[in-house]
Amino acid sequence: MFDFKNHYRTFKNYSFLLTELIKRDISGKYKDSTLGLFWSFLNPLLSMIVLTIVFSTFFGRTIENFPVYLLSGKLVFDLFANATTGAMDSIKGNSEIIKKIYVPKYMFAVGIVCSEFINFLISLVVLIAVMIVTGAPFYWSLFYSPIPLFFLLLLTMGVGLILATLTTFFTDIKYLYGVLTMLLSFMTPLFYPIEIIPEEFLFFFKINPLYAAVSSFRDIVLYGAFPQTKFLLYLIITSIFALILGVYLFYRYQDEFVINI
Amino acid sequence: MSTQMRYPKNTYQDSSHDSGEWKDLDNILIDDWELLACCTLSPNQKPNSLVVTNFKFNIPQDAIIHAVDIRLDFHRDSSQNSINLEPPTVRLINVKEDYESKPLHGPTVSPIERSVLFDGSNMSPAELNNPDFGVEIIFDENESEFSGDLFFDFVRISVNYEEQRFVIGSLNGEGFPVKEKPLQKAVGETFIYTVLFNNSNGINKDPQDIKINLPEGLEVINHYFGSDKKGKIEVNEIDYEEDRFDFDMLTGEQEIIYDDDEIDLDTLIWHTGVKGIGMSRLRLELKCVSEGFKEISAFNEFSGTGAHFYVEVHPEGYEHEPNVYEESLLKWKSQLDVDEDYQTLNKEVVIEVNNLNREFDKAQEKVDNLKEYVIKWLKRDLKPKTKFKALTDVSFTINRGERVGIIGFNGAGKSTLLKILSGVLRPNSGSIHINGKVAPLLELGAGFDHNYSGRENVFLNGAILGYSREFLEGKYDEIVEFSELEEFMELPIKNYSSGMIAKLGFAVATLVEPEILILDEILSVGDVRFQKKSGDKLKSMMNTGTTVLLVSHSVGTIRAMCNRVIWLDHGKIVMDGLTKDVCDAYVEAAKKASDDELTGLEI
Repeated sequence: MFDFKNHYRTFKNYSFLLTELIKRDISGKYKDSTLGLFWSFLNPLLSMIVLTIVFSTFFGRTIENFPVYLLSGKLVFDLFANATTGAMDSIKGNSEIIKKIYVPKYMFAVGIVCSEFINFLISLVVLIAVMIVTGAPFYWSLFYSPIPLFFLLLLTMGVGLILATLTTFFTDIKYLYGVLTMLLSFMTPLFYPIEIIPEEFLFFFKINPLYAAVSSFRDIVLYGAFPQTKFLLYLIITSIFALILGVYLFYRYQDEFVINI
Repeated sequence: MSTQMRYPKNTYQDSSHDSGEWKDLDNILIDDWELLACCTLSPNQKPNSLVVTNFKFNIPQDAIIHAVDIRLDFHRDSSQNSINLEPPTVRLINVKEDYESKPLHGPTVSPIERSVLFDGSNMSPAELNNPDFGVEIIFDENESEFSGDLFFDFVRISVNYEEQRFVIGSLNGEGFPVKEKPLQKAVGETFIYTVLFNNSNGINKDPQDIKINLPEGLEVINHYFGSDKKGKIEVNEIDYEEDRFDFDMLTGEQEIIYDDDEIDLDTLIWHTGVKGIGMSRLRLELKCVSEGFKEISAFNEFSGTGAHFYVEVHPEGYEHEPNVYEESLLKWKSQLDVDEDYQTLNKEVVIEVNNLNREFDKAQEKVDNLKEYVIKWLKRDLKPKTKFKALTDVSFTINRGERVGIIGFNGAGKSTLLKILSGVLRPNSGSIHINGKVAPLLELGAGFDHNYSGRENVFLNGAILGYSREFLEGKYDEIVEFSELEEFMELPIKNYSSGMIAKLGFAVATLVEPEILILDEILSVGDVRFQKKSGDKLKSMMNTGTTVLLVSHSVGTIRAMCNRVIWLDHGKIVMDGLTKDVCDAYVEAAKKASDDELTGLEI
């Protein structure tokens, strides 16, 4: 049913398109600003400073090294939010091309997810800088970080593909997802410790795979430990599930994109 | 057939209180693809309608007008959120009858020549020569929620008319061996020489004599008259003064007024049989008696000498180039009719389409947001969608080297078929096998990023077309040279004029010599000089054995370019065959078709 050889060949033929799309997405992100790519550093740094000033008075005592705690969560969350939103718009945004020329359509979604991931890697420089400035220790556990990041990438890709498929049929998904990401950002302990959540609501936080991703990443960066098994396992399961669902939906409906965009 | 092409000398806009004002309107008098007229539109605002007049035509008073072809360019600015307009109404002014039509597409980002065509059979030369004759272009309002700029580049009009009464030609216009490439024969061999006599407008009904100038050393063995006498009508049944203009020479049988052809073999004077609109054909089987370079021609006192036919006769037993003789047809290649040409081509199948079906949902029922979907679902109001079939059981095969035209009235499924063949759309059922690299020239510069430099866009656009980096790097210099934009390659293309963008798009789209070329109308871009260059490039692509699929609304273009035509109607193949046969039948059917189906088509 699924012709891997053929798909691989198509992917190889269009691999140059993928690099061009990634290049376009990255350079397009801050295209009209004079600082350009420098915003990739400035953006997380500034928001970290603001949030630290506001929230460290509340949680500063319970959380050790609040700036690093905040930044490590926020970078992971922003990667997910920016990449899924980008993937959601990628089909409609490239409708002029899709309607005119045959191109493997997933390239646009994959392209934006990859470029956001590269953007994330660039922003990690800020995290490292903040760790140095605040005197945070660097643990050997940092070498584990590709594991949760890889599954985060799969999760992002899967959710991105699902959203890209849905928005071509229902234009208002875009607005719904805007609200949902905001909700999700509060449902993920980015600037507060999970301990402040009452026991009876904890379940709703635990089913959020981003909580698992953020916690795993923090275990590695902040606490020098291998991610807790329950979080890592939950992240792996949800990410694979999301990816399979995303790929299935996208392939099932991609032929109808052309007449709906 | 003669053509006069003119640009207007006067232009003005018809402003009403709330419609958009055109700036730099005089720029539309110049066809340079650089200087544009511009109109900024807010949502729901109409642009002023435009009027151009004073074309300075000087069409002879006794000419018969066939068609008035209006070309214009309008396009919108290149921002993501811009205006959206229906195609404008194009109206002729200061002519007796009403002529009104629309181009097929509304303004897009690319500046592409739009065309509107009017049947000229009820127009008189005097009307068109009048300086007040003009064109009014009426735009609808901007339907988009965004504001933006509408650009207008030029209007030009070509009038096709018949001035000459008689034409002597070869049967097909191309089949005669020219002086540089004469037919190669040996003494003792025979060949066929065909003359076509065409009384094209029927004004002169006197039978005509044609003298065949046969040089020494050629002997007539046999002669045939190849006239179509199927629809022979007696002369006195027709009231010429009333009915003359209803005739169409291209549609054949009905209106041929015919006597018997005769030829006096001593004087070689041919008394043609045709008496009104129509054609006579004479086919002579000639034997080579002596060696030498020979020139055959035909002469009529009104139409002069027709095309010359050259034959080089060699000594007996001369060995011909082996590939010149077409075994399958027992003919020399240079003797073939255009129609016969493709039968001799390699029979390698490059496109095979079997039982293609494609349905679409009826547009008005489309639910495109979740809110509406949920509400309708709750109210149990989600009707089973009614479908209409855009293509029904379409099957055909195309061999390598064929040049296939696809014709059909509006809504026949032409563009659906083209989209399926280029891979943009999938069929609901049926199979397609394509054997070779396809270059779809449907839209130039699709996916250009306006913040990118010309150089970066070459790579982006090339990548979208599926080329690799190495390939594009190798071809880069060639692309730049063809586009003539050497100095501008490092500038962002938002600073380019629309003509420059079109040139770059064309250069990238045609950088390979593809095996299969899919064309939606013949694209002409840029200034007049670049149009010739791009036209030549397309022709050279076609002449290298490329298989061509051309969708055109102009039967004239199809006749000129294709050797096979597929006629689609309501999603089904009506006819598939030689260009002449299919086009003739199509033109006949077009007379009965509704105006709606014919909007924008050129018959």
